Amino acid sequence: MPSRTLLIAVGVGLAIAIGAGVSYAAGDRSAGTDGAPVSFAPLGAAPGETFASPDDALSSALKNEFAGTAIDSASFGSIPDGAPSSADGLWLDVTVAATNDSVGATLGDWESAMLIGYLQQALHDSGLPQIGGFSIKLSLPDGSTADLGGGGPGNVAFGQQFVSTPEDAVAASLKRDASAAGVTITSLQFLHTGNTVPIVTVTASDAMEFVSAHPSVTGVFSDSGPFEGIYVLVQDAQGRPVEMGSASFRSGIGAAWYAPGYDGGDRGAGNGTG
Amino acid sequence: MSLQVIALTFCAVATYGVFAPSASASSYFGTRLLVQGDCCGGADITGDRATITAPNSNFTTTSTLCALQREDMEGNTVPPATGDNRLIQTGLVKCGTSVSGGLDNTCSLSGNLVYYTEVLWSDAYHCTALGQATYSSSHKFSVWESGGSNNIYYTFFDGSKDPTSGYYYVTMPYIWVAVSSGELTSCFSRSDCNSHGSIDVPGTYASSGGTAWQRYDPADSSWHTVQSSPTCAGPSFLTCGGGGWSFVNGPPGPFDIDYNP
Repeated sequence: MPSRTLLIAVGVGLAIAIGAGVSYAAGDRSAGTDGAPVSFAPLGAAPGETFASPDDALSSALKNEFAGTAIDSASFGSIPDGAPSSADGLWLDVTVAATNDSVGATLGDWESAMLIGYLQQALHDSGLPQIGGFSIKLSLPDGSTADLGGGGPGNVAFGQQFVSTPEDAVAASLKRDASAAGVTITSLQFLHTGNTVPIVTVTASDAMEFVSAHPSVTGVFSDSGPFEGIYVLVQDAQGRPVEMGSASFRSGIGAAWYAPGYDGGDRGAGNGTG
Repeated sequence: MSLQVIALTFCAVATYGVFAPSASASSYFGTRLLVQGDCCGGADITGDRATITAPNSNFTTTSTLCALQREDMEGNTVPPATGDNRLIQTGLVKCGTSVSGGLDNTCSLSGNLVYYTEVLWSDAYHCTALGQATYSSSHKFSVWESGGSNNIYYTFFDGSKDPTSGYYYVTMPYIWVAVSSGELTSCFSRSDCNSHGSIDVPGTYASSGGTAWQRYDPADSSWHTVQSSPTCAGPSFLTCGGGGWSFVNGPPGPFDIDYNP
């Protein structure tokens, strides 16, 4: 996991109390696929920084909010044949580095989802064309790339008000959540999007029992949210990663990874059990 | 694929990844399965689809269970089954209200029934909710290599790609199976599922008036109704019938994949 400096983030918009059981999990779109957008947090946040062009917004994000992440590159390109993007939509091509730790590309994967959501809000605030779709590639140690896939930006409401309180206060709240779930936070960093976006590593003394009870581990920290996003890595007592959970609530995308043996051994593609 | 991805890829034996079940965040399936090369006269399978009718009323999912009904394509990046496992599926999911984080940390966060798309790449599952589902409603769910032989599989809802639906395509050169199935996550056996509480997953596939369960054959560029399926062609732990799962009727007509403890 890339190191990040723990900074005190000064939030924008409405201050949201943390550690007081605040949880907003409306979660899923409130109507059909052509219905109202998904919201994961109260709406009404003030517009953020504005940009003159999509490229300006992307360049700024890569130099600032997403500097030091596993995102190797990102650029706006042409819409691939067959992709259901609107004609005036932007297509974002993202390449993430395959790191050498045992959880593969999950961090870069999540950071890509965060970038997509962040850009979508910034482009909206700037009155610029929206992201119509994206592709994600993995850059491998030998210099080659592998296509993963892609999709659309998610039908998520603009102006969600996420936790933006100082990181030390969020850290205290996260520690309380972890303690209540029976795990210990062993690493805590933040992605600096302007909101407070935790990257948490916890250690579980009985990892199998904990993973079994928390198949979507980000829920452990829902009382401290709603966060713009969160990445949680679970390690066993020997420091081996056993589970990862992540969510990006501007793009509406979540992910889960389990170490072999911790998914029960029978969830995986190729045998009808994915 | 990268070393770490390979390292994390499940051990594969022959056509199937065969793993020793153990407790944890696994799933429990009732599956109708088409195996690439084994079914359909050896025809390639580059898509599957069916109308899925949501349950008639709100059903209970207690504790940590999520219940899914889906159309699914699974495969890999390299032959045989030693590379980066991939899948793409779409359907309905409802999680128990005590499942903090829902399915894959995003879908059905509040215990509601939603349409969803899920993809697997880099050994991580990614879910995006497509919208609130309506009980008793029927929709056609499809997964299809719609662009021809480009190895890119898309999900479709009522025949259309949804540009706002989050992850909706995956690159998957080597197909292993096409699946219609019910699924309970977070348990690995009937007794384990039952220990989480009572659940009945009562949706219907290929319901009357809708699209039958079909596979796509690129050789003739046509969808073909599945006449029957080798429902237990998978690993032994893949409970295709019995053990709480039941198949009511079956292809080519409408069928239910139910779990009734």
